[in-house]
Amino acid sequence: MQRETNSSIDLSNRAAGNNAPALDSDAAAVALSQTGDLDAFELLVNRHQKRMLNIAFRLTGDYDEACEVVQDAFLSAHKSIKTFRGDSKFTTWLTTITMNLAKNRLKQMKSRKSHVAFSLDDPIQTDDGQMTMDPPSKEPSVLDQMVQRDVRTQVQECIKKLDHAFREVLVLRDMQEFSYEEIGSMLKMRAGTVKSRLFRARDMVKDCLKSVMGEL
Amino acid sequence: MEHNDMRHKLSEYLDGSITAQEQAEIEAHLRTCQECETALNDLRKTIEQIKAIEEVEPPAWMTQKIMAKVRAEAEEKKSIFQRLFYPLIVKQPIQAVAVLFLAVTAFYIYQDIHPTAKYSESPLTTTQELALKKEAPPSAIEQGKQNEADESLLRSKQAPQAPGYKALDMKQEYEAPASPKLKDQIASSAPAPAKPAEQLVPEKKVMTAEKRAAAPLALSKAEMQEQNAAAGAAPPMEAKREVAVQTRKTKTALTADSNACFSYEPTVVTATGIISKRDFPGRPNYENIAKGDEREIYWVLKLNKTACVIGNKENALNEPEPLITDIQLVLDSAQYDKYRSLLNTPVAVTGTLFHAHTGHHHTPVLIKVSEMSPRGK
Repeated sequence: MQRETNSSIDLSNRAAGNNAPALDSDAAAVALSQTGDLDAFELLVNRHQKRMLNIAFRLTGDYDEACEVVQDAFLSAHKSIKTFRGDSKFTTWLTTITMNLAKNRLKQMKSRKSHVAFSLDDPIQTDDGQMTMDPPSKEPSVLDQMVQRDVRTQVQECIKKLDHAFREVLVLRDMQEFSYEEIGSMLKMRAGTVKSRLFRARDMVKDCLKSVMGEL
Repeated sequence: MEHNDMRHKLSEYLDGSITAQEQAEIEAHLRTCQECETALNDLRKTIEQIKAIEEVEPPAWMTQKIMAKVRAEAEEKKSIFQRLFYPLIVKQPIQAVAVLFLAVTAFYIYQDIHPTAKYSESPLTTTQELALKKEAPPSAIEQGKQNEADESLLRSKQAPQAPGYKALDMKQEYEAPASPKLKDQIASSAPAPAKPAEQLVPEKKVMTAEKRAAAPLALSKAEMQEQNAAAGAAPPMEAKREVAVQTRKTKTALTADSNACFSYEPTVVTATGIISKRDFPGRPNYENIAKGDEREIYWVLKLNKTACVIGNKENALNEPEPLITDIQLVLDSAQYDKYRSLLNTPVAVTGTLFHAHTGHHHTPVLIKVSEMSPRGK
């Protein structure tokens, strides 16, 4: 129990650190970017691209699509950087843009998928008549089974299975360590809603992991 | 706090985002509830697993690609807006250079067209203008083609073209051989811009050669304007009379003293000078009498002053002559008899000019004489 308490205190401290309205270390670079200084903007790109890519990747589940999202996000940020008044941190503002673009990208991806004109299972015409393709076994391959044993892969799979509304809260809080207030501001929802969704998201991942791996 | 509430709060508890009182309540409950403790442990492990997921690395080209797009967009924006609003430090030198360039260009264009612009005020034909530009001093005596019904309008239009102004330009640009005396004469006529208007009265046209010599350019001007009036729709009565006498044929009297240019036929001109008989080599080679060419005797008018003749676009033979000193006279036998007494005396010769075009033509320009009179008579 003592260990648990310490652990909770650690988490508490970290959360408190996130919540503290620290001075935005990007302020200077942002101010320069607002005057058209592209070098300053490049600094911001270098500083934040990895974080934005990971957010986009966790939300879309596709690395290439995530790269596209990040490019669009920075381009969009540059276009409207003069409208950024510094009410929030630059990271929060940039993440909001990335989240919105990732959401739109996900919709497009789903739409593309649903508009595929044919299925691989469709029979194909050959000289010898119609032939049905032999679909691969739905059982995980040997390789897959090996990979599935990897806990991290399982965690990722479980996160992927979450609805977008839960996934985005989980990604922002547990993977990117934004505060409840920041998440609330990004997703335009109250901190209470964020907490509630986060609990649900974590609980679902826990259940998912338990179902796949047995004991945690 | 109920058991279910406790379960919901475990997530926040792990985040440390609950009040101290809630924390105490939860910790007290955990000591008694094994299920909640297990749930808390599972949740903690799940969060740890989530946090342990490795982050993906952005591709190496990411920054470059983003910045390339950003720069392309910034350039595009610049091209639309910022080019219009360059800072003054950039714009001013560009504007200064542009203004200088325009000024220099304008100066050269002005220099180039200036002579033509002056003469275009007089009704010259295109060929005449060309001749003037190329090689002849400017003339105030041209055949009038411009219709000016209102004489006062004509005067006001002509008034700014002071004879002196023209004369001075001639002197500067063309009049290398002019004597100091002529220059003085030209200069003295300069401050008399009002005179041409007075001399528009047709009677003035029959001035003596001496009068013309006194104010040659003014006269020339007057005569040119008179031609305009004659060709006009409503010339004054006196002008009409004059037109009738001349049977609508334009006549321009001119003296060599004026240093203005003559026109070729059909314009009737009057030139002054001294007539003398001269021998010229004739057939077969028209080169040298001593070498066997026949002797041809012609009368030649030695002009008081050098003159020029402007080209005639209707007859290519009548090419411009920038400088003439002698004019061969073309007379019939009756005229030779009639005017023999005028040989070697100052005379005024009236007739039409044409350019030399046969071996018998020994001066560049010849005159087909219609009348000859002692000068000063």
